[in-house]
Amino acid sequence: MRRYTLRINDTEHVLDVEELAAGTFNVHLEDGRLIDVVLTDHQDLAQAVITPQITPQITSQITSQVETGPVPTRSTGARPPASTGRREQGPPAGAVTSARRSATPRGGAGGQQLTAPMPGVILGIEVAVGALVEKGQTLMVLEAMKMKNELKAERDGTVAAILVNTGDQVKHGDPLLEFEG
Amino acid sequence: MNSETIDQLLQGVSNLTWQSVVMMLVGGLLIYLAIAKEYEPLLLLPIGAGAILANLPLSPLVDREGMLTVLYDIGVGNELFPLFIFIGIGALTDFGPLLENPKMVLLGAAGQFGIFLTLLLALLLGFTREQAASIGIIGAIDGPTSIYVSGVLAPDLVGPITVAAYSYMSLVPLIMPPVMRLLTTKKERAIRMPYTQREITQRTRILFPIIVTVVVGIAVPFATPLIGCLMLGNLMRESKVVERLTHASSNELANVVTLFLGLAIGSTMVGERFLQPSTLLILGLGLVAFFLDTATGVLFGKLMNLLSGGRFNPLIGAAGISAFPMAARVVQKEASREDFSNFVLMHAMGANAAGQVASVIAGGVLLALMGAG
Repeated sequence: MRRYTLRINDTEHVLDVEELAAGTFNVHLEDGRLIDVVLTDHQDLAQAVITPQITPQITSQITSQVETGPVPTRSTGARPPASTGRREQGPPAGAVTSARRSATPRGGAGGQQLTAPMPGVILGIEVAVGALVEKGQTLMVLEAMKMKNELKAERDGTVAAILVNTGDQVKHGDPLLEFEG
Repeated sequence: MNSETIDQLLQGVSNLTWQSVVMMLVGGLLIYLAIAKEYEPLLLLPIGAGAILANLPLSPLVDREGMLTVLYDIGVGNELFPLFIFIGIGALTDFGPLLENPKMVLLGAAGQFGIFLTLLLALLLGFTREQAASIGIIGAIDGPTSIYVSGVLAPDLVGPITVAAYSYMSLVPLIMPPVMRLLTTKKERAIRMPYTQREITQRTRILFPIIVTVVVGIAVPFATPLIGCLMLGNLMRESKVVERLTHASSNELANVVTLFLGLAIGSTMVGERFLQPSTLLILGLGLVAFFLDTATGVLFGKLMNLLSGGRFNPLIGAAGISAFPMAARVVQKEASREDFSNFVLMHAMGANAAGQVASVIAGGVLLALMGAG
């Protein structure tokens, strides 16, 4: 969790940004609203504009593109939330955004992509590319802190790509597997 | 052959007492639990064997010069063996999850309440202060700490206390879940906790054991032997330059000492001394201590959930005990029972590592309270 204090036109705004998975954030507004944000692109250039996909949780049907500009990263001197750099080799902007998030924040195997919920070693991959998986089916086994954890599918779908190999050391938030549309 | 010769030949049979037979059966039960149920087999098997060997009639092993007596004298009576074990535990413990999430220290402290509640209960049941403190330390859920503290305060109770501590420790996966489920709602168990991986620098990892040793050593001098050895092992692990020593402490040394420790503890379980109503009480109180630890941990977790506005999974509170890393795994299992993609393992590991340190400190505090010297 990182707290951003922004001054916009002499009004101070406090945002609490909580990283759920790589590129997925929970933003707590001052008025108590909780918003799911997916960071789809992030470049360190002068003309770069951060375009997070913002989905208000209460009315999650409305999906609005909001350009926040580089303000939050510059004005306070705070770094942009960590681990965004890793998303560069991820799917193109927009691919992740269609994932409809449920009311509870999803950390692990949500949406189009399965990301590592914690650091560990991939012990086994239980599915192959093209496999049809059901919700709750084990996709991979991740060993973390000497404990085997089954990573299961959070939705039905088809495996589009497997991004790791057995024996790979993964960090929190690393993409492991992608689903087809 | 006159009757004297016959007596001498049969002195094994004639010296067999009902107590020693019962104790051999107890030893057999421990061996059974170790082999068939795999309850802490590394300790319970040698303890069971030690109990049988010590209770055989006129057993030369527990003579003044007997092997079991010698083992007891060189390692249990003077607290050497538990400290060796602690070096090995330190070499195996990864404090990273705790350093990533320092507020878990609070849970490590909360997991120790069982010690003091059990102590009070034991006092009420008529145990002396020293005995009550030794029984309470079962609530540290830490074998070596239990042996160390009870060895100082109530050497006559080391046997039952060790057996209680280790057998219940192996039962953590059975004892904890019912308490955890009873005290939490489905919704609480399903709370997700975002995990942010923070890189802990090697410098921090190296400084941690040194600073903890110095701070704890000054604050609670009685805890210095335990915390010092635990942190020595951890310093060797994190320094990454003495891998041979780290390896030796967590493997060869720990294995050899475990064998010696088990045999020596088993040899204290001699019929007349072990078969007392107090032993049953100790076993009962030990179980109570485990329940209380889990309950207070979970309740504290609920308090943290309240303070954080519903964003702390109270199950993690139960991991604030010393049984590392079993407690954290049990927490993860319970969390994923509710929601298969909820991973709280790293948080639980942090609480668990804190519990490891806190139980050692609690042991030192108890010794200080009892004015042990």
